[in-house]
Amino acid sequence: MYDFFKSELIRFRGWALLAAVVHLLALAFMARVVDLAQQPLLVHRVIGGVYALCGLLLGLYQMGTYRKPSQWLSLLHRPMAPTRVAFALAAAATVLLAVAVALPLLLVALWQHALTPRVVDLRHWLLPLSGALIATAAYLAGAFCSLRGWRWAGAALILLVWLLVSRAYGVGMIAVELIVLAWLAVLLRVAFVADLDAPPRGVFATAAVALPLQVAVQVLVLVVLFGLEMVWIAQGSHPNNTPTPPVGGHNEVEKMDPRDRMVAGLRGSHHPEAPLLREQIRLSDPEGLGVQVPKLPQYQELANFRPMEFDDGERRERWVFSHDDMRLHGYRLADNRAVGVLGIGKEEAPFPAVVLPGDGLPGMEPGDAVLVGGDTLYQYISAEHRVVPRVRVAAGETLMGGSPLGQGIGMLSDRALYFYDGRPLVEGHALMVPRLRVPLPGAMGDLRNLDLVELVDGHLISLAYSARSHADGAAPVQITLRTHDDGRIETVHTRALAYDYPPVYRYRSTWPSPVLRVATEAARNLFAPPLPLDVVRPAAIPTSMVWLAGVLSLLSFFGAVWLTARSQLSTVGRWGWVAVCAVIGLPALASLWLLIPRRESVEPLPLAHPAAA
Amino acid sequence: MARTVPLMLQIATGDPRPIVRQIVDGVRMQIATGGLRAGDQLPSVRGLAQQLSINPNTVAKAYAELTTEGWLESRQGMGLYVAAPRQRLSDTERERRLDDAVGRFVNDVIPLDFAADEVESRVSHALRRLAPRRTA
Amino acid sequence: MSDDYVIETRALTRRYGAKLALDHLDLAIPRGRIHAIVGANGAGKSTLFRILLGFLPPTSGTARILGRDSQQLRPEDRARVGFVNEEHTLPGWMRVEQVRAMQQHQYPRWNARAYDDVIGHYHVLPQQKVSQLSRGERAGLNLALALAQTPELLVLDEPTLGLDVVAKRAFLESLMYSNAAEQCTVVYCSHQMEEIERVADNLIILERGQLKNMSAPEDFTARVALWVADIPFKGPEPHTVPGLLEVQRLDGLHHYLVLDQDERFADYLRAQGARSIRSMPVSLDRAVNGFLAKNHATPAAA
Repeated sequence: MYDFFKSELIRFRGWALLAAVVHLLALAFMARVVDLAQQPLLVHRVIGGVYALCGLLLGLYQMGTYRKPSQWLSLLHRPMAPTRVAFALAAAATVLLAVAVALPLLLVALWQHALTPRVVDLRHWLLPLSGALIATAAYLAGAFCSLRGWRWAGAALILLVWLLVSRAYGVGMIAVELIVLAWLAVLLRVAFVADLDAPPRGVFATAAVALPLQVAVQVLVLVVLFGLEMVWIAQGSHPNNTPTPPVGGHNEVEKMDPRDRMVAGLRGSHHPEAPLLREQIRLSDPEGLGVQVPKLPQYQELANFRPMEFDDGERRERWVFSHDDMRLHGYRLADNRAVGVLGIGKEEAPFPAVVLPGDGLPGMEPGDAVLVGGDTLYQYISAEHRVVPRVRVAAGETLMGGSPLGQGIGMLSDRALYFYDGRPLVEGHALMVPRLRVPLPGAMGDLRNLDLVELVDGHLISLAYSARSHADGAAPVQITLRTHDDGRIETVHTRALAYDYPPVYRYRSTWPSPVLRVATEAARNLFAPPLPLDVVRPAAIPTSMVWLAGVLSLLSFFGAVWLTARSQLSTVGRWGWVAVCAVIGLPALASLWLLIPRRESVEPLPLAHPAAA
Repeated sequence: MARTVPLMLQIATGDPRPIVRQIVDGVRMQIATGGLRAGDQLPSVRGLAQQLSINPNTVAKAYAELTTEGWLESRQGMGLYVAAPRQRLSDTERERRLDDAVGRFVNDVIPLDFAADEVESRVSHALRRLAPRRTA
Repeated sequence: MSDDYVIETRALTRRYGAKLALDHLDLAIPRGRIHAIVGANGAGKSTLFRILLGFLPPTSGTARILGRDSQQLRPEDRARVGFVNEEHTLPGWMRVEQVRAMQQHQYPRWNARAYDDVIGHYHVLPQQKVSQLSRGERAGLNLALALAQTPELLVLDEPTLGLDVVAKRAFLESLMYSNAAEQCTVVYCSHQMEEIERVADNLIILERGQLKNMSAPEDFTARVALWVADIPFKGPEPHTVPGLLEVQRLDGLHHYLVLDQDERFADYLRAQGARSIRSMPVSLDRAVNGFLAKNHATPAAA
């Protein structure tokens, strides 16, 4: 086995070394110009995609050369179990990819840590590991696809997609990568047999291939439906693209300008002050408040959504947030000399949550900056080289965004809206006390629009909860709240909106297979922290969709009975598959069709020739 | 003392006669014309096979047939030798074979359109040329 | 009982779409000797070996190799069967010495002497890269590696295809005269009658996935004869001629290549009005080709 390992290493060592050198040069060039540790998420995804592509190509090529019947025979016809051959080949590729991907990253991280004042956290040291895992997983997927062709390829490719859609962070993401890698290794082991057309042997192997394949089929269904949606759009009756949106629906509300939206929110209200309020809306200029950080920073996440650094223009310093000690590290831009470490207040206490730089507050001096994280907004005061908390929402809530409102400012947390007076802002650096806290009636994930106008004695707040109403989110509704100067909050009107899309469209991720929907969501959320924007209060699934799923399950059941009748499965295997198809639905039927070959019929003996041997 | 005599045989693939037949005929011709004398040791099975570039089993078959017919004899542990000349065939068999050979010869020669005496004289000439080489 | 046969198939059938590559094949190859398998392209030879070595499942029927079910071969079974194919697949980026070392580590009954014996016939240096070897040298290396495994069964699938005369001869000699080859059963597939005639103890003819003949080559040749007759007019319809393999009309004479016909064929021809009749044996080449061509259309009159 070692011979095979060494042989494959020798085969590709030139390429691996070349790739490592090119990679290192590219990284070195970029590192001179920017801080690679502080690149936005998109850059990380693109680079990760390049690593995955390299791994994929290696797998496709290496196995592609062995795939030809004569080569395959020569490879496997020897007194060595196929598993060991596969292991040797994969181990060699892992080493090659580690050299080409992880080693240059590690070297650059070392350089950045030792020779620059830039921050290198644990999460950055994990990046070479993550890159190597991604590349190796893609290699295994490529090898698997090369050996088994289009019928089974979905199983491996969907596992790579899992890496893309996982909501895990940091070490959790590494754990997901390890799980995907292990699963792909199992797939390769199942595929690596003498007869390359054989179905998987045994329950475990079949499940390992069938399950991701079913998810791939479900994704394919979504792609096909997307194509149909394009046709729908072209045809002109798609609710999002009609010249005027359907009346009374959420699309209409989303597209209105804020004034009309607020007025619409009062439509049908019997509140005594409704006409007066409508007048006031028409006379005022509504202000909006939105979510400013769609992807909140997480502790030791591998890739930040935005760079975790800001510049102090007055002192010409750059401050970077380090997850390792939860403090800011600064260095002078002119000569890259470290300036110091900043925490909260005089004690330089560590930040309780990861912070990201935000937009400025009114009344800040030049050089000052705003840092937002967890439930607190901090201000960095350039003149004093100090960080102080300025705004703190209720414990357990997360700050989502803020904006000037009239004379003061408004802050949006995941559960409430806060109003602050303007004066404490500019006078001193104390922690500001909110004048009013307005709890929000819906879930943050469903909130689409928040508009408010200032009244003589308070505010009128119009909330539109329709963010996920085109999918399986909350029922669309418009809620209008009124705040009074004495602290009272009343709900003026709740207006239910109509669904613009039919249930078949909205629940298209669910009705092909409700079981798979639950499973894939669980997979996406594996090791992932719950995030405010993911909190939704979905409406109950309409019974029509339940019926649809049931009918499809029944179809799948009969289809499975018919398909397995002509296969070579044992009785247990046959009814096992039928049960799975009934429970999981049509995607399982598709996986059955792809994985299990039909028994071929054999013609009766032809007439004997007169000159038979 | 007997030593291995080189066996100057040619075999041709693509000949209507199988290789076994060609070897048997070749050895018999050599014995008949004096190329091989009684007591000469024949090459080993492997040796002849390698010389002719053929399967050793084929040579073994040919040797076996020649031994059965009495042309060769095997001496214990020492290989195959040319047997002493004795008449191996019955008279009827000899007659039959002579008729066969004559028949074939006549078939071949008739189309050439030579005069019968010319043909006869040629035949006698050829037989006489071969005769002195035969040992007593 | 089944240990007497190195290869045994019962009603082995393999289907590709509408075509039957193997058609209820019953084949039993006994241990020992050199067996040649002859057949046109598409006769099923490659399919047969892929099934026997477990790389393809049969559509129906069974296949056993060295007494073991082909679809259940374990690594130790594979050590007993050597396989050399026409492409002589070897890792091009490795050196000859590395390839040899790898094989030596993997095969428990490695015979270094056999390897040296065979490779000595070729100008192959241990440090050469495999990709630098000529086709003939790769064939020799492959054979040396296969024989050094000390296999019980050695299967060769058109191993001399594309080799020049010198390389071909070296290959065949290594195969026939090495000690290692003597101790194993050899199954040799080829198109080339010239080779088969020299090499084979047993001639197996496959056609359209069926077994058509299994006997010593000369026994098969003896069954085929060429009859030339002068028949006025058109002569009998080809499908009415008993045992007919091939018929040609050349210069007004009918040439009949027939199988398993004795002297009574002359009577038959006379009954058809033949004026002069002659017969002669044919070479193995002609016999086999005629046999295989039987199912193809007879050529038009010359």
